[in-house]
Amino acid sequence: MSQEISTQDVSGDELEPVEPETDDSQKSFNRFEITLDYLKLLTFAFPEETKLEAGIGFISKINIGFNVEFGYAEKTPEDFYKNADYKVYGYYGRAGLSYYYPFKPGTNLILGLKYAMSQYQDEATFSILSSLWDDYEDYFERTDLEASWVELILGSESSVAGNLYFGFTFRMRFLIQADNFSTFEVYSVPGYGRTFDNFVPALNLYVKYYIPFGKGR
Amino acid sequence: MRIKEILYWSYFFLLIGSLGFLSCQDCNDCGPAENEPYVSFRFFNIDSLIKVEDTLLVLEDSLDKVIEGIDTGNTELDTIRQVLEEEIDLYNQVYTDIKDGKVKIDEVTGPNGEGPIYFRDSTTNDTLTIFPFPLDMNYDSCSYIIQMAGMTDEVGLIYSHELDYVSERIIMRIYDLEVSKNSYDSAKIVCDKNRCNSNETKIYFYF
Repeated sequence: MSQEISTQDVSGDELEPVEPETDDSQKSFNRFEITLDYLKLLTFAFPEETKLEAGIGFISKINIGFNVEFGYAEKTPEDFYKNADYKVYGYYGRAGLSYYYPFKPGTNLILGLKYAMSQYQDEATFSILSSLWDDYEDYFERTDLEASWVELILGSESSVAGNLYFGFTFRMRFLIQADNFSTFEVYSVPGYGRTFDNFVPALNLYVKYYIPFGKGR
Repeated sequence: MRIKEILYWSYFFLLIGSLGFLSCQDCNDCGPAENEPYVSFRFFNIDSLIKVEDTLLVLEDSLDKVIEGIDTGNTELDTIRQVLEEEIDLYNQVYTDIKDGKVKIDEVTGPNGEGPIYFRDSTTNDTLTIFPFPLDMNYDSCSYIIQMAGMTDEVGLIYSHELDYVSERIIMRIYDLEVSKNSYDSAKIVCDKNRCNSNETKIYFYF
């Protein structure tokens, strides 16, 4: 955004140029961003899932940014197999472009498009009880599974202290491909979610820190 | 509150609301699942059935003669007629029970001492017509030692098996069931589909 020089009547008959307050959040600078999804940190309090996600990015002076996010997700759903201990886990990454619209000082609206990939595996140990014979006990493990999808992102963030921002993103994920199995389905793809639909909405809540650099415009 | 802030929070709650709405999923199959595969056995005591049938013929023949005597004016036969009719009713009930395959199994064990299992139904004095025998999921065959009315018999089955997923459970589906061994007089396997599947197949034993 270009800096504007405003005028102010100081003496009544003399106009002097006055520079407005500068704010790094006004995207006058190139800047890096570091993001941590604090909503996912809350999953550590629950036994069924563990998630962790963080990202970095570069935003240019014209408010277009390139972001990369990495995450880990582990899910142990209790009801997916009632007679099995099941777990699916893996890593994922996203990369894409976002536009940061300066809605008002210290607040940005964000529109973005990202491509995402996940590499994951799942495993289960199960038993089928018998009233006469030995119980049937077995396990399965599927490794090197992969999935990919694209995400359309809408979000907003507000400065709470200087370059420290809190925000959210609403994501619409469109599945391109996911390794799965007909009889014993994979419960969910880390980073994407359940695979019974090729469209999954999601919400991220994050804290972000901007590091401006270079010369402001 | 300024108009921009109202717009901002409206935008936020609209997105949250959309997320909740789109995340709803219907429960398509919430019923109970059969976990252990089984095959239904039925037992028909043909020897007893023939004996009861013969006895009934004799009783009915006697009753006809008694009725003929009563028709000729011999009223002293009324008491005998009443006794015969009660006997015939009793034997008819026994005949129906045997024909329906109503029997009492004392116990069932595996050939290596597995079990035993019992079949109980207190409302019918422990007699049943259909007995669900559990199939051994660890092998493609199993055999049973069946004790019933002082007799000990052995039945063997062979089959194929594969894992399946039904109603949120991993189950063992057994198919291509056949009788491999049978110490009863004869056996007849009844299945609706081409593949004799567990939980759907009935095997009739005649002795």
